[in-house]
Formats: sequence, structure tokens, C-alpha cells
Amino acid sequence: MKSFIVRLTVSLGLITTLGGCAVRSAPVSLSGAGLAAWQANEVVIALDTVMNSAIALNELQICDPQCHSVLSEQNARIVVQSVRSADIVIKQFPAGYVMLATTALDQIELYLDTTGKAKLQPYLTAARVILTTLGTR
Amino acid sequence: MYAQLIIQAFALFAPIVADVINKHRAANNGQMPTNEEMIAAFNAHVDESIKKADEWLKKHPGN
Repeated sequence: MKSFIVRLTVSLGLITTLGGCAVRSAPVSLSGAGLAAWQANEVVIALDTVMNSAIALNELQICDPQCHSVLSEQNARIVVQSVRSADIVIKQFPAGYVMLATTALDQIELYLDTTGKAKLQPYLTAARVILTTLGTR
Repeated sequence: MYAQLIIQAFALFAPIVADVINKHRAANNGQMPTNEEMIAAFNAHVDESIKKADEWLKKHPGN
């Protein structure tokens, strides 16, 4: 468990650093709507990663001793529907990505049950870190 | 196994984010993407994510 926490911390550091690098390396050729699309694109990828993780954890079975999904279908549905809704609105208003993605992440955290929240917390934290980095640019 | 899945997801995510421009430059003789190209790439990613969500929801219709 200790090893896992160390590796998770390193991974979070890596994602934060590289996320920041990606933002700093936004092409100088982009401006206005293009730059907003670049930033919104990173947020969409971050939300997509949260959704992919929820789907993968829902497919993953553990037996202790009864077999069940690591993440319940109800929790996975909350994530999938929230990300889908955010995607649709971000596509219409890329410049509003901070508010829209924050709302989606807040909604996910609000509606997940305690077990689901515990399983998905690292992904949600990583998505918020990326959002914060982009939002303060 | 669960811990491994989290670590893999994080390890995969950062390169995906950082790689968007590199891929574009490689495919366009080192040229930086224009606003129009970036907007098109963004729209494609969003559509892909929505499609994935729709497919999952179709397989898991719920109550």
C-alpha cells in the first residue's frame, strides 16, 4: 500500500508537470478561438480520462468473496452522463471550459456514493489540477 | 490490480496531452497548427468522447 501511494504521488506529480508543460507549449500560431480550442481540448481529454477510468473500473471485477465491479454501474453512469453533458456544452462554448468542467466534476463528486468517490478520487483530483493550471494561464 | 490501473491511466494521460502538437507538426512538415486546424481537432476529440459515452449508455440503459 505504501508503495502504491508513493507511485501515485509520483504519477500525480508527473501529470501535473506535463500538463503544465503542455499548456506552456501551446503553439504561438494560435490565438483567440484557436487558443480557446487548445485549452478546451486539454480539458476534454482530462474529462475523457475520468470517464474512461470509470468505464474500465466498472468492467473490472473483484471477488471478496462475492464477485462485483470495482465501480458500480450507478456510479459509472453518473460519470458518463456528467462528462457527456459537459462535452456537449463545451463544444458549443469552448471559452467556458473552466466553469463547465468544474460544474461536471462538482456534479460527479456530489452524486457518487462514498465507495465510488473513494475509487475515483485520484482521477477527479488530477482533472482538477489540469483545470486549475489552464484556468490560471 | 486496481492500483495498477490508476497508475497506468495517469502514465498514459500526460503523453496524450503533450503529443497533440508533435503529431500535427510531424504530419505537416513541422508547421504549427492554425486556429482552424486546432478547432477541428478539438471538435473531433469532443465528438469522439460523446460517441464513447453514448455507446456505453446504450449498453447500460439503467432503470
